[in-house]
Amino acid sequence: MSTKTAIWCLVIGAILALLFLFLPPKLIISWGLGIGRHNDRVLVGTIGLLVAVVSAYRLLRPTLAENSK
Amino acid sequence: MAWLNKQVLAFSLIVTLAMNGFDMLFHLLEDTAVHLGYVAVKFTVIFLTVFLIVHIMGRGKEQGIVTSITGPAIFYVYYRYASPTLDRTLFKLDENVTYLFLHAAFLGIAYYLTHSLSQREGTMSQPIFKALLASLAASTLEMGYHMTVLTPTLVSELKVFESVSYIYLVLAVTFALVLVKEAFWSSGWIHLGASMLLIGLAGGLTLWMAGWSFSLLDSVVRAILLGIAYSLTEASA
Repeated sequence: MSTKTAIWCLVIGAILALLFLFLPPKLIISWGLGIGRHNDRVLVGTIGLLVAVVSAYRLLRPTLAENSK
Repeated sequence: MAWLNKQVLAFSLIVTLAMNGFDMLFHLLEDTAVHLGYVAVKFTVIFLTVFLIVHIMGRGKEQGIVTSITGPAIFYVYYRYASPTLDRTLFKLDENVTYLFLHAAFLGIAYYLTHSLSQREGTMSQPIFKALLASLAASTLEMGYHMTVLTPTLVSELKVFESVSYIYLVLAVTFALVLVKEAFWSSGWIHLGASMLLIGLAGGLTLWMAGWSFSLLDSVVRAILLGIAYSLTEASA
């Protein structure tokens, strides 16, 4: 994964986590983003958070990622 | 697909299966409810954590520690924000924060065992690690089969264990079979497919003879699950 891709993944993952995990459900629905049930949205947000965390780890330890190839 | 490395996939699956095996056995021993929805989300989150970190950052001590902390922490975040899927007045659930450390410990042990398997080729501990991982993976697959097919449903999607003593038999049978296979056929002349078939058939037959299979089809499913658990362990090394 290149640095540019890692930055994109960090931004997209963080946006997903912020939207579906940390905002109140009523606000999400009023914005027309009420896809699926509440727990489905929370799972999407959780996966977004995971992608953001792994991307941040990749950006913090670039040499480790390079050596693993 | 070049990015989908088979060994990375097998490694991630076996770590996740072993971690869930440890975890479910612990919860069953202390009478905490183990239900399909909860296990499915935990499996998904832990698998994705292990897979993404191994795929992007590789395998090692540091990556293992980061995985062991990240996986359970993110699962805990899900758990805090999601709506409860079981009535907490009826079922005891592992929502206490101390389970976070327990999950981290289980994931750390599973990661260490799987990583050591590929690092310590030819040593005495390798067959034991292989047998332990295969038996934990087999017990997780068995419990998954139990939850999706065998257990009578409470509500459509909430399936909870009632009696699970036979899980210990699955653990013991798989452990013994893999150890025997490693002791007598470790030279590699026996093909992976053949040993998978032998272990699966012997395991399925033992469970059937012990009276834990409901039908012939049930024995066949169990034989396949044991074979899958063994082949995943072999592929991850």
